[in-house]
Amino acid sequence: MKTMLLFFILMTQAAHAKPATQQTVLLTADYQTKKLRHSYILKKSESKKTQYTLTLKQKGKKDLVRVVSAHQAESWKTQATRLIWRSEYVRKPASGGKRRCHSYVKLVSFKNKSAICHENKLVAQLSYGLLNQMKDAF
Amino acid sequence: MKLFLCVQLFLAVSLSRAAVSPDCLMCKWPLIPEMSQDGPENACEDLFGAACLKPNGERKFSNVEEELLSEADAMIQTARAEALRTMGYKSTNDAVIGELRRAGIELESIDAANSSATNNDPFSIDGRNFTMSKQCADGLSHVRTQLPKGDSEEVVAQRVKMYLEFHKKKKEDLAKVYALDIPNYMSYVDSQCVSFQGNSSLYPPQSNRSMTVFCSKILQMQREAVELFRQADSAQYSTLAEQFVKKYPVPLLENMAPKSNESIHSYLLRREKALYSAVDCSEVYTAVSSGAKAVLENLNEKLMTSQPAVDYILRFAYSSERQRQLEAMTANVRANSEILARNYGSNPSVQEKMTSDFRNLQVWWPQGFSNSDYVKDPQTGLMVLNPDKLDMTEAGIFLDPNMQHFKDFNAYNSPEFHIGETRIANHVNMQPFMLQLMQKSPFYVYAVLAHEFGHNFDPNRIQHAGYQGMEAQYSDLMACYKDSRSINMQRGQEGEVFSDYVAAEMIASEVNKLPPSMRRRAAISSIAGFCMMESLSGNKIEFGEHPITMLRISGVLGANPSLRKMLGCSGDSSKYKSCGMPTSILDMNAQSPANSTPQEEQEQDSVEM
Repeated sequence: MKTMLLFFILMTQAAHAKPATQQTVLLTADYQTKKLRHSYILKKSESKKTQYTLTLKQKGKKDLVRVVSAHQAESWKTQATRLIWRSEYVRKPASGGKRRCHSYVKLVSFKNKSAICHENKLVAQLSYGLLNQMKDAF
Repeated sequence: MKLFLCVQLFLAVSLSRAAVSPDCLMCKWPLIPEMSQDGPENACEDLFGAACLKPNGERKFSNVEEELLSEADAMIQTARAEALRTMGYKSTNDAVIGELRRAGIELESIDAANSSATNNDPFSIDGRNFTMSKQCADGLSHVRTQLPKGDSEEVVAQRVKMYLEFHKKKKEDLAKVYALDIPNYMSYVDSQCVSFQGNSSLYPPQSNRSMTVFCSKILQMQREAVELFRQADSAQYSTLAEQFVKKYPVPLLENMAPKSNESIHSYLLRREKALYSAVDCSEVYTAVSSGAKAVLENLNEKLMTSQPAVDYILRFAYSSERQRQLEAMTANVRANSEILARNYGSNPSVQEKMTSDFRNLQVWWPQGFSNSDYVKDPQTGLMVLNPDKLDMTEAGIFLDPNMQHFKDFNAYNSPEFHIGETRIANHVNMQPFMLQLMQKSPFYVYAVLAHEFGHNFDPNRIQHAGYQGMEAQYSDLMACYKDSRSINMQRGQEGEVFSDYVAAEMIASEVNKLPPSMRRRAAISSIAGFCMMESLSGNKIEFGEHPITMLRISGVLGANPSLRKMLGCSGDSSKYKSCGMPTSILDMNAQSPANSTPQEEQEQDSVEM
């Protein structure tokens, strides 16, 4: 009887479990040096309510998670997309030599991704601005 | 009464001058007013409370913090306004309205542009209302009032047609706005196709034929968008971008299909109901605000790297007065660092290397730019920094349109490193927000500078710097801080704690050169900025590496034997174990007769309990 009751409770709880949450990664930004590794992951979770979260992963430290506004999340995502396109597609001055790229940060937003190079000074610095905005959330 | 005060003041000044040591750096520095309010302070047992809190427990420096924050904001806004004036705008608000209008975006009203919802930053679009959003909402309610009444199949079909026409017109109107941000338009296109293709049950292909065709061309679209974006600097880009968006308008996603055996009439009724909620104006606000943001971000980037803004910031944040003061402090801190290096170094060759590294350690200061470092921006007509020609450390701070470098209450010591072919020398960077304190509390700027120099030979740096055998030199000091009777230092905090220790030593050494009557307050003033650190840095301080502020102040600085002497405290703190190297700068200076003043011994402060 007890087993039946337990089974009933478990089944009831399962039936009342939260609806499946659909998570979409809107943006990841990986900043890595010899000493540091910071990754920001911006996610949109949709169940009954839509929620945006920003996770900061740091090498050797516990992950930090913050809930951010839809407005803020959209703003970071669109900034990152523009930076990725500037990094990937804006025409560079012709140069005879091989182009060097020392990766500053890797940005991924949906199908768009780019390793932003230190050598692309303007985009690298704009990416620094974006990282700082996300850092501000913690 | 007045005469009495004057005589007292005269005597105080005369006596103070008499006690001043010839190499006294701090003698001319003003004490911040908060430090002259003595109150029931007990610096010997509770340095944190004495330095940071009012007698009623409130924070002592909240007004100073507010002043500093608004000063930093004002500097950035004024720099931006200087550049906008060059473009012919009278105010930032006019510029925002004008530039958005030029891009085809009208703000709902001038009042809306001044709205407090923009957090007093006229450059923010948060809380602004756009005319297009209102027009869409008005248009939609107009359509709804014009919908023919009745339930016949023809009438329902007419209503469905009106909704679809409204949607089509909305898309046409939005083309100009989407064209402002092609990367994100393509991102939007992608997400619509992913939603459609991944949810065939929700979005039946038979009801979304135009979407099926649209999504089948996505690679072609992507190719054209990239080709287009590569011409982003050209004069005809905005026209081409608008043509592109008009060529590929995203069809409306419909979430219904005719059921088997369902009459057309019944299907139309269901479709009308679905369109009632699907055809709305939410997309307009998203698209317009995203476009507006792209326009303003692009403008801000140009403004902050423009010659008028850069010149203003250099004049304001890096003034020659601040430079002179910082140079004087640097010379002093460097000399003290060299003394420590000679005494702490594990052997003569390490001592020599440490001393030489301190001589080469630079405190970064921008050198400024020449006219040839700028290039004319075709869109704004402004002369803007040309990043391809410039050193990243010099120009980088201006290339971040958020101007974060000017807003962080921070300083750092960067070891030598290489990025590609660029070599960045070992340097200390005192960020402008920190330098703002130069007038209000040079004591604290000194403490920070000393702390940053301390990082050059902190336990984390010694290996990288090649200082052999230094672990053994620090083992007792580090063990002391790890002790639970001290601050119970955690793993990873060694560098920061050591640097605080160095700062304490140097503060004590310099405060010792002041007349005894000033020492206690000067020592507390040097620490006061640590109180502000926590609230000014918001939640950005990485407490992992820094012990909490209270422990830094009371447990490291307040338990430092040399600093305790300057605070007039007898013996060790009852709360925190005293930690220090066997020899302090004070001891070293005491051994050197040239550095002692005869009055020091006589006037050693009374002990405060």
